[in-house]
Amino acid sequence: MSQAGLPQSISPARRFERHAPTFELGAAHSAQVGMVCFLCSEVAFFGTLVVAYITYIGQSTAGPTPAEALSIPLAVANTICLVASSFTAHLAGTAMHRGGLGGFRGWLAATIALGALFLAGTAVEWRSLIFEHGLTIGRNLFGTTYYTLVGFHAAHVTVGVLLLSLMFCLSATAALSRLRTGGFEIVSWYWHFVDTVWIVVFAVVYVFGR
Amino acid sequence: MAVVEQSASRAAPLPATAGLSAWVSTVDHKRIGILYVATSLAFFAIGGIEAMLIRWQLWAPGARVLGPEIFNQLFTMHGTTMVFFVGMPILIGFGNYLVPLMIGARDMAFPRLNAMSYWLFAFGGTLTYASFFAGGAPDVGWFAYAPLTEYAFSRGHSTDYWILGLMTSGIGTLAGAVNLVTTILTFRAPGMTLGKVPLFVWMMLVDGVLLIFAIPPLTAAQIMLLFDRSLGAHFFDTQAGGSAVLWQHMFWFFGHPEVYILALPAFGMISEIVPVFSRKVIFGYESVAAATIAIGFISMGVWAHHMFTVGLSDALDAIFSGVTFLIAVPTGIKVFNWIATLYGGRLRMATPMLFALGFLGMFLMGGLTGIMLASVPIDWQVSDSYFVVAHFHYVLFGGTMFALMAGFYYWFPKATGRMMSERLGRWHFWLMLLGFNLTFFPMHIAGLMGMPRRIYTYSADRGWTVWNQLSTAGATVLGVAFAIFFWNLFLSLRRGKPGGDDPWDAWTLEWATTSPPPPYNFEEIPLVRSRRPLWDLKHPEDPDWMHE
Amino acid sequence: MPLATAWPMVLALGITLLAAGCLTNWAMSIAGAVLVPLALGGWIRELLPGRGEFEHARVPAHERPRAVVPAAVAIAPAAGFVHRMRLPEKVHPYSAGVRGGIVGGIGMAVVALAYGVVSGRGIWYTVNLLAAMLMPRFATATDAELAQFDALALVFGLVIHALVSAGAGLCYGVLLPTLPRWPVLWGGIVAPLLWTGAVYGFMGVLNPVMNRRVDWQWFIASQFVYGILAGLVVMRSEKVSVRGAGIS
Repeated sequence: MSQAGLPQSISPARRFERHAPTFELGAAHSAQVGMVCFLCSEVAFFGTLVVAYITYIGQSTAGPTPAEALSIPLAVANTICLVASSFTAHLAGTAMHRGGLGGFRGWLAATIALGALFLAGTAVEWRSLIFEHGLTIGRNLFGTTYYTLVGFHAAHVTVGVLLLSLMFCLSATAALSRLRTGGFEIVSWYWHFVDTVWIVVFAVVYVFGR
Repeated sequence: MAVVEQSASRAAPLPATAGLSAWVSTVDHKRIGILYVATSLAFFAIGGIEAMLIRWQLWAPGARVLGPEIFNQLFTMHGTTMVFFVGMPILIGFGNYLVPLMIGARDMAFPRLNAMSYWLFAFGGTLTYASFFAGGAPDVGWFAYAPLTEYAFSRGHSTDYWILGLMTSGIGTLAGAVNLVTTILTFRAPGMTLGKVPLFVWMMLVDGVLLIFAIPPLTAAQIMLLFDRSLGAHFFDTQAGGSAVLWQHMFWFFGHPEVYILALPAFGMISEIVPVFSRKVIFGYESVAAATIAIGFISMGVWAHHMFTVGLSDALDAIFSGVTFLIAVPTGIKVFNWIATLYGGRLRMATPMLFALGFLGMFLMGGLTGIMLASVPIDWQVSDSYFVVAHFHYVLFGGTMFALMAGFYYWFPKATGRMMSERLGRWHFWLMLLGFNLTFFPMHIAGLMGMPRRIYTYSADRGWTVWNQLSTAGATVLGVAFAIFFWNLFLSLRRGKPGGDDPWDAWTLEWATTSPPPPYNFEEIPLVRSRRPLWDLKHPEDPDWMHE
Repeated sequence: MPLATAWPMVLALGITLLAAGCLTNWAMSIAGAVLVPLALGGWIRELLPGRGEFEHARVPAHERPRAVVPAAVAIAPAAGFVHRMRLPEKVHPYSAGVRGGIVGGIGMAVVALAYGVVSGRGIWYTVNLLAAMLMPRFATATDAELAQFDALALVFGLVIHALVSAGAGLCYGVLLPTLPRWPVLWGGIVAPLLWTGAVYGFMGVLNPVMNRRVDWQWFIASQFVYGILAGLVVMRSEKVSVRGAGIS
């Protein structure tokens, strides 16, 4: 179609206006749709791990049991960190939309710090599990499923912290104008997702599974 | 993304279009599509040779062509290769090439991610095959049932190669699926609503969604298995309270949607080819699209029909049996739609149409035996016998492979600018039809006579010999058919007669640009007003949008 | 257009090496671990504004697509009809099928009740037999018990009967216009025969209680009454154009 594209070949007078408008999802940036697709696959992934965890609750043939080993206060503190980080991430987004670079960077730093705090809390918890309770991945089914589920979640938090840190570094450069087109928004979606997964993990591991 | 008359605005040199480095660094969906297809064809040749060796070993009772260990490795690698390194990537490759062209887009939504998907598949396949040089290929069957895959029963690294190779290529497949879905949802040309996209695009959309939900559970299960094997975890270790059945649930939760992942793009190709060669509009566009969605949903809920013999409860057996019967309904709707499209059409018996008709017949056979197997009592009788082998080869070979071949002959001129030889194509078709039925029909009978799958030999007094010999003879015919196909590809690429932009007088957008299309596909993003934009253009006095 | 870049390939290589290193040699994993961040960095740099994109020149004129010319011969109206042909042209409305099913179902119920009266077991007997499909306690009931009125059984029996009658009627309505010539033959005789055969085969599974006690002559008679009545109602309904009904 060098010169005669489709529109030209049909005279405008004959255009019937009963056709639906273009792009039902036209408002959505392709990166947003891509992130949603990716998060759907993550739902399937964590869903499988959670199903495995629930299947094996109480099936261990040896100790320690979740009731003996898990520390609720620490888990609650971790949960608070992560939930709070979701709020700060949201505030960072709001600040960016208002155009306040300083506020954006501040809330972003807070989010990163809370995420790092969560990871540190997990490290403390694992240390205690391994050295005080002797719970390793090979000890019993509880250890097997616990380390797999919580470990993969922690890995996702780590990736999230790295992504947010990358955003933080880029915000110092001229590339921010590009970030405003949605780069931070989709990273924050990922972050909220990781947060939601933690709530499920918390419910399954620390509440339901004890 | 703009296309300008001269590359004046930026002095960037045009990317090289030839040579190895150009292919390695390409982010053009068409080149990546070709890479996918070419690599898959290479794996197809390897998987075919493996099948051939299996057949020769089974030619006579007590044959000694291969040892039992090699035999186990070959059937495992044959299944793994055909599903993961041929079926999925070749269909994703076609999707990669065709979807942006069909929806009037310049490229995929994420061109660089697209390149990564391809390379992960290529490297993952290579990694799996590297096991041959590292002490033996995987030998646990393509669905790798626990506890056989546990370290206690599968020493060495062969199973780890299987896990890591598939995980690597699985990440690539997942990225490819995300890319496809995003492209279809956001990159359509103006006016092309979801009710106007070609049916192939519809099927790729549902295919992508299925991949997004089916691949991660497999990856998760493989990670668990890897932890069991290398870190001493106990997921599938029954002595420590683990469950071998859980692996089956997880594998088939991936494995059954996988069957439809392999079938849907083939259905899409048929839905494009049958109307063009019948000179008619597809019958019941809406119902075909709706049936595709129905198949997508239902296919997520049928996995345990692979596990009737495990000893689930009667209630579960009944439910999964019922749902499996149910999925025959949307599939049947499609078959009737294709037949209704043929009805009263002016059929052109070119090679793509021959293969499409072959698909209809062969897939119907596979579908019917599938309904038989959905019945729990029948499944208990023939599960894990050659009847099942015959069934899924009729679906995947008779269905997907015939449709793929139709697709090759149909879109080859678009990708290369040259037609494939019709004469060789006819030889290929008839030999393939003959060889296919000769190979797989006798397997139904051998299976009903009690021949289990995956045995490396059998004794002469079972009465299976003649059926196995028929199968082996058929496999040889199939080998010849595919040798002709490869020869045709090679010859047509060099000396095929020029195809022109639109050799089949077709109606979808990919035929509106040159063959092969320029890197940017379309100079102007076309405005779409009906399901057959090219028809509207060719027949301005009788456009489709007056009738839709 | 995006510029060609090898970083995605390098990333894929890095991931593969990481995996391969687990199986062979830690040195490979290290190489992979080095390549992954390197490739990610290169990739992200491509995404920054002003990089990684270029404007593609148009290809030379002789390589551009030829303008699509309108077909030389105007298509005849008949041909225009054929290539968009939708069959069947006219169908019975779906509602006619459901109505036929309801009428047939009433006729069937009358026959079934007549059987109850004629056989001297009372009108509730057949209702209870039908409801036994959902009521396991009837499995051990005696004939006398089955002849008693049972409210729950009446509800179940009515629901099953109504659903199956209307559903089968709907199938009739959809299928009848696609069958050649004598619709009453298909609807009134062939379909009841097939249906009865199927029910005969599956009765042991679906409803063992009824299977033990059913009187097949009466049963078949009621099926024919249903089939003929439903077929007649469907046939008498006004056909509607496919396009008007939104079916394609």
